[in-house]
Amino acid sequence: MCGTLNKQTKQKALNFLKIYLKITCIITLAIGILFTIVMIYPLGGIFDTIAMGIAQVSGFLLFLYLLTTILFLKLTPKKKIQYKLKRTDDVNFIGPGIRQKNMTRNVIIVIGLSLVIVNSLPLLLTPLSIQNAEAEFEDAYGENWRDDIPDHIKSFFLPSQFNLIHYFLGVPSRECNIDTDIEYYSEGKEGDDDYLSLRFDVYYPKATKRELPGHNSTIIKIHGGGWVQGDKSIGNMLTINKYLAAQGYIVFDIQYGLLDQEGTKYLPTPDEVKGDFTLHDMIFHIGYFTKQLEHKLVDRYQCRLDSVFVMGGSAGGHLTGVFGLGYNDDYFKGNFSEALTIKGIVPYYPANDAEFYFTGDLDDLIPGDPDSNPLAYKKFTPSKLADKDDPSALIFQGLQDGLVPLKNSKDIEEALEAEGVNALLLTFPLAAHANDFMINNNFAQVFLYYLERFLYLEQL
Amino acid sequence: MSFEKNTPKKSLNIVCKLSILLNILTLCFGVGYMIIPVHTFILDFFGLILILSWMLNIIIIYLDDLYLKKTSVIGKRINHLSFYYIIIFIIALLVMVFNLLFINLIVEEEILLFIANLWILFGFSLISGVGILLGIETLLNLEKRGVWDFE
Repeated sequence: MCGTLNKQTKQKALNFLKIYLKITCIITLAIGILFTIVMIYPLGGIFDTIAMGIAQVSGFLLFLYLLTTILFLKLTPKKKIQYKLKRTDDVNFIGPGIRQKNMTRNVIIVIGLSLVIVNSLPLLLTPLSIQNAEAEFEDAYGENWRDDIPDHIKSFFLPSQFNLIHYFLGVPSRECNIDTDIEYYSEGKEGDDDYLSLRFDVYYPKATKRELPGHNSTIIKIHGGGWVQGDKSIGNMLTINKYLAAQGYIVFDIQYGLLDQEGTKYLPTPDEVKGDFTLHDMIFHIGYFTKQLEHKLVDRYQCRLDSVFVMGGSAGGHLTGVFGLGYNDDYFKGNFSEALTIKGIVPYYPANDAEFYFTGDLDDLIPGDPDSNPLAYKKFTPSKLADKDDPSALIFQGLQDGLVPLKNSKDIEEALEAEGVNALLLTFPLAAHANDFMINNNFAQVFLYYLERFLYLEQL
Repeated sequence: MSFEKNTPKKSLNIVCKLSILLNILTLCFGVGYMIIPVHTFILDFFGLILILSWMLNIIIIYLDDLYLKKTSVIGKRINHLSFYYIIIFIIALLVMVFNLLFINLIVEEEILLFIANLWILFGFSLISGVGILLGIETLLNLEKRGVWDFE
């Protein structure tokens, strides 16, 4: 009696577990369908935020969907009994059951395999990104551009553009020294509402007798976040900072004042960088940092001022463009240290058109409007700052970026090329905004491969 | 007729042997890479082996499901093992992906970096290790009577 009860309870538990697993499979595949749609078609709003993560891990997701499909198939009987309704002498009754092929299994297979195929696309399309990057490099540096890099320098670089092991197990981290939270500018008193404290982190190489590719060149990194949120460090792809510092670059990851605006914010943002700051203030803060660099930091970190690079993503990409291309523009005269030689800029998915970005919710960022203050709108559009003396640019752009579409990068590239300046636009099919966050993903790997070579070639 | 009946058995036999071999290679390469992470061209080759071994493990689960007599004692055991393997595989993938993400958020805490890498290694070893077990279990019972539908 007790044994039967036990068996019954066991069977009940097993049935419950099967139903639970089935529901989990359905939810996983449903979420998979949503994620896949978001990945291939920018839907806007919250979906753009979701898209930032999906294509970066699509290689893992395809296995997840494949396993869920197999699990669902295991839980679904191969054949099901179909009962047919029979009618005799005005009486309905159910006839004997016939075992038929369970069509549900076919539906599961079709959905599962479709998800797997679409999610494998970001990986499968990687050769296209590489082909495009190769063409850009050949245009800029000639067909044999690799010959300009000595073998002992190449040994520090990634040997190939993309590697599956780096994708699944991670790119090995490089060792460097890091000093964090060094204040370079402040206003007001701590505790006051208008207190402003801007800090930077610095990543620099450990002592070595080997010749490193960076030769102590300086990199200034500007974080993104739509000019209203975000931070240095974890908000600014810090793994790249460590990687480049280990190669002999001195990387300064800096804060700047942000516009304190109501609204949904999903990036960690320190209170002491928020205020009623305009783009002019932000450029002033960055300029102030360059003066600190010239007067205080150059000796402390042995960084070179005759070889400076500026990097940043999104809003940081916009400010990178304004700083790097506007450095020699009279409009910004006196703002930056004049001791710098900017060798290159690296804007990631940069915003460009000031009239588009700073006339809606963000119109506080530029005083006036495009009619009353056309000069400011012009000078805060990086493509309109291009001239023949500007540094070369390496641009990262995801083709599925719903937040900052390709047009922005394209405008900057065309403006620089029209002036005879090298502009290398690296495009990534199915990559959304900020899809370089995980250094191991296929987009970031390809970009890193060309970034380290670009930085070296531009120093020469 | 006999050819048709033997084809799934032969396929399963080949898939199991290949899977065991590739999983062992993956495990060796993977552990080696995590201990001494170097950038070499051999890694390109290793990446393909990894993908292939994971795919073969999934094919074994699918073929087991297709041809196993789940009412037999051995069939039930292999079926349970493949269920556990799917769950372990999914959990291991999630562990790997979350730790790969976590690595990008670590500033300078070496110990956290070490722990995150350990979790990645653990997840990856689990996939290959249990994959080897499933391959061996299937292979050892392939000749047994009353276990498979293709007899």
